Amino acid sequence: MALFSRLSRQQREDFKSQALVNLDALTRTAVRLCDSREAAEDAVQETYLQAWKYWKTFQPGTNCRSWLFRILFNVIKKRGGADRQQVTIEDAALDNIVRFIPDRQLETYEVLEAFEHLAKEHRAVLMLVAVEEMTYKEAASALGVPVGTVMSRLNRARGQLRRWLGRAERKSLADAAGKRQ
Amino acid sequence: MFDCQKTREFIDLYLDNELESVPTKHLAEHLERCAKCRREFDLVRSQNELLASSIKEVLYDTTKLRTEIEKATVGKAAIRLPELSLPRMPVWVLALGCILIVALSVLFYLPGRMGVAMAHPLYGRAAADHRVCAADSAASDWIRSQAGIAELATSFLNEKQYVPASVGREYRLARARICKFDGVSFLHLIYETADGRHASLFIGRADNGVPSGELTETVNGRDLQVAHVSALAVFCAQDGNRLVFAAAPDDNLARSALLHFLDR
Repeated sequence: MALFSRLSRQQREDFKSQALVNLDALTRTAVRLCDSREAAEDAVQETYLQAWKYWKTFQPGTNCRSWLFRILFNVIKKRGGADRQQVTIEDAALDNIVRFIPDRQLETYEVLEAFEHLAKEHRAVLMLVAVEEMTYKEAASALGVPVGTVMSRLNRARGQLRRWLGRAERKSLADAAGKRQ
Repeated sequence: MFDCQKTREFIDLYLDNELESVPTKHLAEHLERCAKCRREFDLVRSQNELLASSIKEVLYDTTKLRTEIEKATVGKAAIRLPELSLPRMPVWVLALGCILIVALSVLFYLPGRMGVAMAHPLYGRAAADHRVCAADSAASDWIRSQAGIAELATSFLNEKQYVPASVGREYRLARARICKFDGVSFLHLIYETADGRHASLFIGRADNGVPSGELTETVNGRDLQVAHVSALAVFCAQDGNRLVFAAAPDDNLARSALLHFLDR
């Protein structure tokens, strides 16, 4: 254990007010990218330990949220492990899938299930832009990729999600029809 | 102006607030006019909202995780030193300051402990020459007879010079020759005991006064400069236009040799 604290009182306060406030958002994203809740919490905890270690080098005024997400993604990537079971939809197969039309409100679990089918990199970009409402530039910084890559991943992720939601919608309608008969 | 195809291409960017103001205006105008694109727009927007709300709807209790993280970071026990209000300065200034402190220590503290650099370099040269010449007894340029040494002294100093035949009770004049160090020539007299210990007297011209030693001793009204070099005592004094060094293993012998010469 270090004998002396390396961070001043002000830096500790800054860490609380700038870094720790993002805990819920980081957890929410980690849960969607890791195999289990425990793995997600471990990744978040390691993210904060690393952020704490390098907090002295963090430039005040820069985007702390993007920085934390970038650490999180690196931690998750480093920990590796098998990606969640995911299904790749070939374009030819998509012709048979009806488009998602929100005639009926889908259940949360159905949306989450469709989201689970996306590749990890697609889930990550959707979490940042669609859920955490980051700009493309912030998302690019967090993912460590160019803005163009963010846009292309986002486009593909949304397209696939739309198709999976369409499939869920069709299945749901079919089940309802079956029950009526 | 935007047509239907272009509008659909840009719907995502529009909803993500990533479109510039001009295309945003064009896209909005097209949506006003085109019902088909407006339906597509509503569809995409509802999908985005559905995704965000579905994910945010699932809440996680992070209380325990937060406690653990705070404990490992901001709550970590640390011994706090009173914060010093030192002015901010570049690292190179601090480094330069440290180097200066070390250099001053080497210049002033260590010499006092080792007895070397505070004395004039001639003391070190005399000590070194004493060691070399004491060991070099077989060289052919040594004058070994009393008469020969007296003649060498007279010719070197251009006048008749008193040369002590002994110093202390044990040291007898053994040999002499002219030695030169730091560009200055000296008549080097070697005194030797029966068991092979040595002492030296160096007699030269006092053209530049007496070089300062580590300290000054006053004996019988005479100022003697004293230095210690590598376990040797080196004493120095001026006698008229002569500069005389005495080098010996201890202070008493060196002092005695020098006074023996001065008090002739």
